[in-house]
Amino acid sequence: MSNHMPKPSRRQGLHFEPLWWLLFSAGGVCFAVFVPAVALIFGVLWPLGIIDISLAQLQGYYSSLWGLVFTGAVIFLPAFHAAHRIRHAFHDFKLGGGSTTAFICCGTAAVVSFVAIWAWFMLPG
Amino acid sequence: MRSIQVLRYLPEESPQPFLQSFQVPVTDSTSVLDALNYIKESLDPTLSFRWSCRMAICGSCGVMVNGIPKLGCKDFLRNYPNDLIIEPLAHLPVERDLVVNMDSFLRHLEAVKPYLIEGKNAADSSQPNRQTPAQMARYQQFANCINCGLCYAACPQFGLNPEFTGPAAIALAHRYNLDSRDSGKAQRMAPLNSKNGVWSCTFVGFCSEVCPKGVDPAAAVNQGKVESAKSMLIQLFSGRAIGGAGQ
Ligand code: SF4
Ligand code: FES
Repeated sequence: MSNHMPKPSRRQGLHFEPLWWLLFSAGGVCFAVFVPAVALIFGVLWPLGIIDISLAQLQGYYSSLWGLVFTGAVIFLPAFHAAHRIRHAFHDFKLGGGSTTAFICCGTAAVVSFVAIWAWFMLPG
Repeated sequence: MRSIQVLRYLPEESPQPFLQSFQVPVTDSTSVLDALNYIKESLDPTLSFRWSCRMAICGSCGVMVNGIPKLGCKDFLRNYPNDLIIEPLAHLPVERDLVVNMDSFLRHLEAVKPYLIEGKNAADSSQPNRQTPAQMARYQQFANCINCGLCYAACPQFGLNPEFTGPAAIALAHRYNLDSRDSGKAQRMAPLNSKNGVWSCTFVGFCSEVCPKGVDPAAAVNQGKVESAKSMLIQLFSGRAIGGAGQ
């Protein structure tokens, strides 16, 4: 009997929420593990002169593949984590939180990530 | 004697709810439910509230005590040396005094089919359905729910969106999905996968704090997100829902 029913589309009932959530979860780990270390090193220890980092060496590291990993762990994933958080905060304050908010929040994260990755590609070396 | 306040709602008398103070006798073992029963028996027989077992089993005596969802029979006046305000459970329509309408809660419970569904995992029905202690341990914690609804009163997302399946229903769905005797996961994933299913949760976690039975619905919801993400990926690539029965 069900042979005559049209087969439901494999996309039926799907939505993007799991994707945003996976990026959010991965970004949360990065926020907890990498971002504080980066803030400590580049925001406190280096400016205070407690440790010394040579710019040339830093650029060398950054233009290697590790620079791309760094961009992913410290910019790309945390940006999507923040976007998801901010979007849900809007929802919680009843200030939207629907697809327009999602577009603005995730769009901003995408632009930030794109610029960071583009900057890495533009690096000499 | 001490004074407690109860939020009254008597629609035929006043369209607005109002606070009423009562003087009740207290000992160290006076529960919130005891106090309500004293009021009803000795001070004001018109006070309406639900209760039955008075031992945290039936789940019918949920109220807000100083703004926190509690079972009236499991919460004691000695915990509140100062003010004590008793209100109906939040996020559910109030019918009268402390009696709320639980229909939407029950609808969400029904939607996730919280019972064993026969299929390939069930033994042939003439045989007992065996399960090892290890298989039982996977879901046992989630089986302790008494359907009191405290977690719905605690959940701000349910407050914003009453269509959200909500903590207890998702915990129960998870309980049956984890049961080795069950074959109904594919059917339960449809409501869980939807935007009003697990994805409405923003991991506030207050549901697990207020649960009087230690169920930890927040854990169930967030394990449910992993399951739901898997289920949607499988559906996208194979055209079938998780559990294999989707068609
Ligand atoms: S999960 Fe806990 S708080 Fe929620 S309905 Fe069940 S017993 Fe009550
Ligand atoms: S009266 Fe049954 S749970 Fe409180």
